[in-house]
Amino acid sequence: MEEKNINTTELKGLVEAILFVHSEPITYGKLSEMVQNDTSHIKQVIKELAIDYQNRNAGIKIMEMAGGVRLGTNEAYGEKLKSLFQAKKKQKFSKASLETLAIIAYKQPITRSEIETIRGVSIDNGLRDLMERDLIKITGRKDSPGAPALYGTTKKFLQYFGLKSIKELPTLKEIKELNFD
Amino acid sequence: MGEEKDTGYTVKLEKFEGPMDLLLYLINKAEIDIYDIPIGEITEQYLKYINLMKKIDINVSAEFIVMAATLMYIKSKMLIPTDVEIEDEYFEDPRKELVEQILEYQKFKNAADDLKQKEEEVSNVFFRPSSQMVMEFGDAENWVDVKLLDLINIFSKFIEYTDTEDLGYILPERITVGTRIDQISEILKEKDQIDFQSLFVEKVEVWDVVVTFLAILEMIKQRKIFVKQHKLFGDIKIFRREGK
Repeated sequence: MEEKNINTTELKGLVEAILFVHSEPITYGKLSEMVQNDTSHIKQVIKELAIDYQNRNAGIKIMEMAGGVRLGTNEAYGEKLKSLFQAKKKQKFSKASLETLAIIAYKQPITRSEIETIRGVSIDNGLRDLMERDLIKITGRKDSPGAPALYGTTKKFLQYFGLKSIKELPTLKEIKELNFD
Repeated sequence: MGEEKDTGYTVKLEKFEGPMDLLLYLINKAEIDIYDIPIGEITEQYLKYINLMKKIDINVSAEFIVMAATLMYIKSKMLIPTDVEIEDEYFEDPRKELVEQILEYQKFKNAADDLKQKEEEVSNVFFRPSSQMVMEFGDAENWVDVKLLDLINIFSKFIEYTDTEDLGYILPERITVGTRIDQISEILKEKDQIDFQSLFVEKVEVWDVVVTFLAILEMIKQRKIFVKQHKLFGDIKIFRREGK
């Protein structure tokens, strides 16, 4: 990629400014396009920014999520901000919804009945609620009788839980092989 | 966990997400080897618990009952004497399927706890709201977000003005939502914002209004545009999101 005559300090400032005005996660690719610089450079600069913020315990920090980066406030000041701005309490997910979400996240694409088998309960409205909150979507249809819908997680899911990508989910806790002798 | 005694105290019951959750709880509580569940004991406790749930008016869903039946079935199978030494190869522990199911469930229950923790972490981080405008425009404070209902109201007004006579005909070569999106995008390439009314300068038929409505909704969804309404005068403006 053609590189403009811009030194690292300027580049860092520019990237910081872009992150400041951009409200959604922005990919390294998009950033590199915007400032006409190598993705590897951008990554380096963002890493430096993140360390800068960290070192001075800044009010903001770099968040890597949903395949991009964005600025967020330092969680150390979360409680304070909440009371200062009387932030509406975000409606958290129920245990049941989280179980369903976890199963979809790890096993996607998955049908509703497969989820029900694992959870051992029927989930009538659960999926609709999750769809309405845009955390899961129908990704296709299974090639089996009745062509049931297959569900998967959305970008919003990654954002909501602050995950970089589905691959970054912690590995399921391994459990030793079953042994029935 | 409370025993069923009429003590007059309120017994705090953990809420279980289903039979698997309850079973897992009982197994953990009894500190038994999951690979060698004393099925009689667990079944008894399970049934006790369900009765307790009934007593305090927790709705016991069908799944709990099905699991109770499964447990009793396994228990009865375990009672049938098997000569393990002879039938070694064919012998399958009747508990095996259930245990596998519980273990599988446990994995995702743990994963759900991880997600819960993540949710907690992120809830302490704040981001710029996505509709926030960075570049101010003239009298920005007078323009407010439009709700879907407002849009519907505006459109129904337009529909009133239209000629509804020819609703019954199907004419070929009607404009599609896709084309309409292209048209609106084209206009927005030249201007950053347009008046809503300006989309209806030419012929206005019900079809056009409906297609335009759908096109606008779609474009909002695709985050190509956002719509604002003037606080005082009610004019609606369509704004292009940055970038073309």
